[in-house]
Parts: sequence; structure tokens; C-alpha cells
Amino acid sequence: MSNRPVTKIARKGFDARYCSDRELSFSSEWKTPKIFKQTSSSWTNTLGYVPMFMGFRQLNEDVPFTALMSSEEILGGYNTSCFTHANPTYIDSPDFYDGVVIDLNGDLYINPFHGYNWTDENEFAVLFLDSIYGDIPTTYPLKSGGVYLLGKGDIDVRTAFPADNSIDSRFDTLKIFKTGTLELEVPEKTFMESESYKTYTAEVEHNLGYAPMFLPQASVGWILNMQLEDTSFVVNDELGLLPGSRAGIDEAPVLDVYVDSNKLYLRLWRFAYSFGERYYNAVTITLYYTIFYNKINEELDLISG
Amino acid sequence: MSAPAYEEAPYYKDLVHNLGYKPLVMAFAYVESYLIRGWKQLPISYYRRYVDEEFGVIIEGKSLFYEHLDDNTIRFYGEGGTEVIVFLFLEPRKDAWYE
Repeated sequence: MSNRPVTKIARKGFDARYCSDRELSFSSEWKTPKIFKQTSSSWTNTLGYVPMFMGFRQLNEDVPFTALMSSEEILGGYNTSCFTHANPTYIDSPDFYDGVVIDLNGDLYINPFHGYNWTDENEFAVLFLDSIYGDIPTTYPLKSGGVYLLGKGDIDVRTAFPADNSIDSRFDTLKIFKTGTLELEVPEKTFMESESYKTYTAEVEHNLGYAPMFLPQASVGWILNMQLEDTSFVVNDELGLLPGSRAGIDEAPVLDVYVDSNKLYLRLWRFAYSFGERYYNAVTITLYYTIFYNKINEELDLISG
Repeated sequence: MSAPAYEEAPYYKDLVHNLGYKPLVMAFAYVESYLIRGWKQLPISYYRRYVDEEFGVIIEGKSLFYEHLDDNTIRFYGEGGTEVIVFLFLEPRKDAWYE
């Protein structure tokens, strides 16, 4: 057993000394990702390594239900208060650079998702101190002013690079506002040729007054692949799979996960066949969500200056 | 759930985490190919372009993706030799914390 000091905070109703990791709300043994920059602009890397990142899209009225070319006649029903993750949710992306990309040098490029007659309102990147490529510096000089640091016990907390400490008050972190389970109960349905499509929505209120960051990293226009298109599933568990390649009439259903200033939405689009009846099973789509206090469209730079 | 039989991604590697549930995954890979060059989050679809003396330019679809085999193992698929950087998040699941 290690003699390293460990700081643990238990969730309500649990004893930090004996409970499992999942029953804790904080442990200095875990990495707490630290945000050093949020931006809607491209950025030239000054860190010397490639940082972990996350991207968000700001939608608008022109964004279709999926970014496939063939789908642009159906709008998604979004507006500029709607935000979602900037992950590809379809194979036939109009442009592979869409979203948030970091090049070999670690420089950030932001390219709003777009189609032939629409473009996202904006795109936001969240940059973390953790490295995905290259060694992080071994030290980070303290600047003057009050700083709260909590180490992991094996490195000098005063000189450790902030990514190696548990808490460093100079940087932002993902702060949990609310977690829960959102279930979308979708009834059995037979579409007639003339019906075109139907949407089903489940939502949860957060009422923060701004669009907050959320997990999991689900997005809008996620074309359900053949494994998922007519069955119950948990969104969190399937996000690593490739999406389907066709959506809309005669093709696969589409799933949306997005937030606005008041709510988190889980929405399913089901489509009819153009040549006859189309039957769908009754299914339940489950989302284990975490909503953070962090605002998506906030610009901050905590490492320069 | 069985592994999807994507012919374009014949290689895989298992990450055994033994958490007893399916954690959130944030995985990154550097892709340098036709149309894309940079670090992106999985899943990623991209193309490889070859020049064949007989057939000319050949463009092949490739992908990097993952699936939870069970509550303890994540399987990553992609071209051999691809380095994937993975972060797992200890997330709350059915027992919500702050509802």
C-alpha cells in the first residue's frame, strides 16, 4: 500500500473511507481535466504538445436534420440557441475538416460544419491541459497571487505541471450541475407512404439561461446504423460505432442530442418508405446525461497573460 | 453485442478496464490521408488513396471506431499501426447524483 496522501470526497450518503470510486464525487487519485482555453477561433499552439480537446457546434435555422446532401430539404428545427457536440454523426461528411481538428503541430483549426446551402452559426473548442501527443512539461512556475493547489502526492505540488496536480485554481474544470437518465419511449408505428416522417422528443430542464456543456458526446444528425435503427439502446454505449451512411425517406432513422438555454433534448426522426408501408418496433432510447455548469460559447484563455 | 463485421477495419485491440460498467470514452487518433490530416476524435471515417499501375487511382474507405464488448472491455478497430489515445471518464450512470 502506498503512503501517498489521498483526498477523497464522498457523495451524499456514502463514507469516503470505505465506498467505491463510483460513490465518490472527487478523488485526488483521478485525473481532473483542466480547461485552459475555450475559443471559437483557430489557435497556434504554444504548449509544446498536443492537448486533449472537445468541440461544440452552434446551430441555426438553416441546419438540416442531417448534413447529408440528400437531406437538405428537411430543416432540423434548430435556432442559434441550440448547441451540440462537434462529432461526425454521418459517414458522408461534406468536408472531412468540419468541426474541431488539431494538426500534427498541435495547432487548432475550427471549421464550422456546412453543406451546400447552409453553415453552422459557429464552432467552439474546449482545450484541456492533458496531452494526447507529446510530453507535457515537468514544471510550471507559480505566478504571484493566491493559488489553490492539491497534488497527487508523488510530485511536488508547487512545481508540478498543472495537468499533474489534482486541483489547480488557475484553470477551469468541468463542474457537474446535474446528472440523470433521459428515456425516450417511442411507440410501435406503421408509416403510410404519404406520411414522410415523424419526430419523437424527450427533454430535461436545466434552466441555466445559457447552453451548458454536456456529456456524453452525442450530436445531432446521428444516422442510426443497421444495428440500432429499430431496437432499444443506450446512447452512451454506442457512440464509438460508425454511423449509418444514409438517412431520410427510405433510409435510416436519425437521432439528435442537443441543448439550448433551458433544456437538453433527445429526439428521434423516423421516416416512411416512398414505396409502401414501413413498420417500426416500439423502442426505448436511453441517455445517461451529465450537464455541467460550463458555458459552451464562452471565450477564455487561462494560460497566456 | 457482437462485433460489427466492417471489412474496412480488420484490426482491433481490446482495452480491459474492469470498471464493471461502460464508461464514457474520449479517444483520439492522428489521421494523415486523402482529405484529412490531423487529430480527431473517434469514430473517424477517412479515405486512403493509392495509385495502381493497372487501375489508376484507387480510393479506399477506412475507419477508426470502438465498441463496448461488455462492462469491462472496449474493443478498438482500425488500420494496423494506428495509435489511439484513450481517456475514460468515471461517469454516473443509473444512480444519478444530483437530480
